[in-house]
Amino acid sequence: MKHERDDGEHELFDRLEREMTQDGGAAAGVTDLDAERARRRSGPADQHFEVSLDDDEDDGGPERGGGLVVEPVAVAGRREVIPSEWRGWANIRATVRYWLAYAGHVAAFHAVRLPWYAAQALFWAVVGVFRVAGRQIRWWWVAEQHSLRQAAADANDPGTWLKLHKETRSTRMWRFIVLGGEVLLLVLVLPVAWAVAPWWARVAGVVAAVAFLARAGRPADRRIVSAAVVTARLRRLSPDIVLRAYYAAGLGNPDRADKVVQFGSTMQRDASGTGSQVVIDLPYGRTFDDAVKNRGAIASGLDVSVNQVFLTRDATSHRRHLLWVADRDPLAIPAGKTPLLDCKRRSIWKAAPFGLDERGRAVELSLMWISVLIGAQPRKGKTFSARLLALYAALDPFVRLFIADGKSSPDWRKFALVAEDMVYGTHPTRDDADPVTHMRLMLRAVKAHILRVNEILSGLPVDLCPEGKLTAELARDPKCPDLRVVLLVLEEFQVYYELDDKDASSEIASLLSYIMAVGPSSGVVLLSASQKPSGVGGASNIGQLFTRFRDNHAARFALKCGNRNVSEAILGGDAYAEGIDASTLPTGKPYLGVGYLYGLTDDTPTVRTYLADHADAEKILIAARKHRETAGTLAGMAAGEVTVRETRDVLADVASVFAAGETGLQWPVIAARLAEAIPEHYADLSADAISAQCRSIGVRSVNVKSGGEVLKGAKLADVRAAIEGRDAA
Amino acid sequence: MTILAATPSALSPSMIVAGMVLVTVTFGYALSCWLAPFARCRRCAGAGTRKSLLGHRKPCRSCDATGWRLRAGRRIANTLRDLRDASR
Ligand SMILES: [Zn+2]
Repeated sequence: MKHERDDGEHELFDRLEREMTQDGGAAAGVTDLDAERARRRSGPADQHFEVSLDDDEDDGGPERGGGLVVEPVAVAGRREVIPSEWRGWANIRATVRYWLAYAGHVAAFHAVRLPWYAAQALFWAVVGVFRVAGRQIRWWWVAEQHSLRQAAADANDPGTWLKLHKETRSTRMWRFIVLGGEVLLLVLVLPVAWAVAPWWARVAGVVAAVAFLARAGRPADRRIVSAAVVTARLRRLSPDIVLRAYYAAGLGNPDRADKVVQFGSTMQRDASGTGSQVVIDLPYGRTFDDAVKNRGAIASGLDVSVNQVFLTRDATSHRRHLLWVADRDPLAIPAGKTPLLDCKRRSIWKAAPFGLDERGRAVELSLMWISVLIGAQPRKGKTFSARLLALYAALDPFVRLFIADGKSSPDWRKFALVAEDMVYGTHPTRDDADPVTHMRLMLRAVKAHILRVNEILSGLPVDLCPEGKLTAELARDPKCPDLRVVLLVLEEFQVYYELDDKDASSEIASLLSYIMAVGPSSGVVLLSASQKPSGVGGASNIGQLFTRFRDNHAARFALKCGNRNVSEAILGGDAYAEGIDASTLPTGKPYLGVGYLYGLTDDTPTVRTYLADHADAEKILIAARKHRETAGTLAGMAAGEVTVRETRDVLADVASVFAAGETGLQWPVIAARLAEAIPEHYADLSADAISAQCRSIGVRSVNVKSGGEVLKGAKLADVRAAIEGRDAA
Repeated sequence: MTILAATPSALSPSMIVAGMVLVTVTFGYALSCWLAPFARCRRCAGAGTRKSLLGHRKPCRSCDATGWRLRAGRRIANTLRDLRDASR
């Protein structure tokens, strides 16, 4: 431990020396070391001693890249005969002052803790007495041979036992004499010495004895004296290490002039003080993608975790990129709770806080005019990230929220406080007798909203609506209540493409395609999340619509995925070609909520999303409801309005077409009669459609004989039973 | 034993003494079985040889002429341990 610290300090001085030589300190002879040290101490990184990774630094380095390094940093060569800190009176004084201050700090640190040290030492010294005594007794008794003797007894082998016993007896006798001498010494000499010695010798003796016994008594991992100066080992990047890494990764060859890796900048700490960065020029013909593919090999060459290595494309050349190596794995540090917890009003027209990127910079997402797709394996933070954005929109009282939660989970339930309409799942529940129809109606309403917005906007004068687009002012104008921004949340939206009722799926698919195509430019923000984005079954029209809908999202956020196909489905093929693959994201608890945000900016930040757990979400939603009450924008379901739906009670309708005395009807008959009786709803109803619809709500499809022909149909009794079952639920 | 001693009604000094003696003897015997598992053979008094009826010495069969025997307590402990190991 001590040795390492010495190394660290040694290293620090080496660097000091080098840099001072470089900036003319040596020529001037005097440098204000205090100022220099103050500067060093100021940054967070400077509380650590940097330990060079490269053992060969002093002998000039193994491969210097054929002299093609563009003077990256001051490279150590010869060391000065007299170190600069001992050259000249001013320097010597400053150095002595520095060390005195250092020693003073250490002394003060330990002086304050002295009583605590004493208490601990006394405690462990008592333990130590027993430990030392026990150790000596074991030694006396030849404890190491004990197991052999016991084995002999276990085997009922008196011969071996006797032999061991005899051996032991002589050893024990000798050791007994030694221990007896020791006890005699303690009993006789110690009191005499105590009486004769001066007080300071007694104190020193007691301190030494207590220290010895405490050392023997304390567990090996429990230190009594704590370190006054913290030394952390950081990876200090040097050009040699970087070159070594790139050559080891096969990105160049130091022995061939046309294959050397070069530096495009000097190596430096980055502005946030959390890592080192340098611009790399690969050999001609090698591309950024090659580097990205070899990121793991580069990390290995740098001797750091792959999570610490970040490569950023450079705009000027495809062979050039920025290498940034973080001091510690930045993705394992959580981003913290969402800033939305202050519950203040927000505006959808401003960027929503989403998380922190790998360098600790805030990542914001401007939701207006876009659609967002979020995908991941289950339980990796997909719903939490989607909800984070929805919470932001909820805090803008002028945003109308429509939520379809395909998995009908508790995660979204609290949005009922603010949402204008919500659909849970696909199966009838107590809350919703027919969620599929509900979903169709909600999407139709969104479509109607889009049409209305465009109609109003095209009718507005140019000074109010300069580009024919919605503006923040218009969206809040009390005179235009129809021009609100809409957030449509689609959680696990794939389930609505896979309904038993193909007609419903097909309608939902085409509605979503319409909303995706026209919605964002009319102020409808789409927020879709899926754990199964790879596509829905079959080569049907619905499958194509699903894929098209998925691929048209403007921004994509992929958390940890199971394999690269899923990642590709979320982020798109382009992202994979760029080396972004969400299945390579690290796994484990610290990395929950970490994902790639693709499509918004040229670089693809690795985002650690802010956390808003259930309790936080509820708190924010209660505040959001208050804001809406104040602004008078609470509407729909959240306002307690019984949604006036032009919904049909299918079961009642089906029951109504049974004429008196009929116990069963075939599906084609039911479809035809419905079309005749209620044409505004069932005009083009097919036998298959009504069959699927009825089966999905619990009516069996059975053989019904009519006019000598047996076809599938429904029994009136089943329909009645389904109605009763539903009403009872 | 300890249960009896713990009930205040059945406390008599002789019983306490008897209990303590019993415990001490048991533990002492167990300790000797552990630390000194072998004792002198009773047949030959540790000599390893015995006088036969005819008067000349012959090896003691009881201790295989070693003069040492395993204490009964240790023998029981070994048997129990072997049983346990065999049942695993
Ligand atoms: Zn014998």
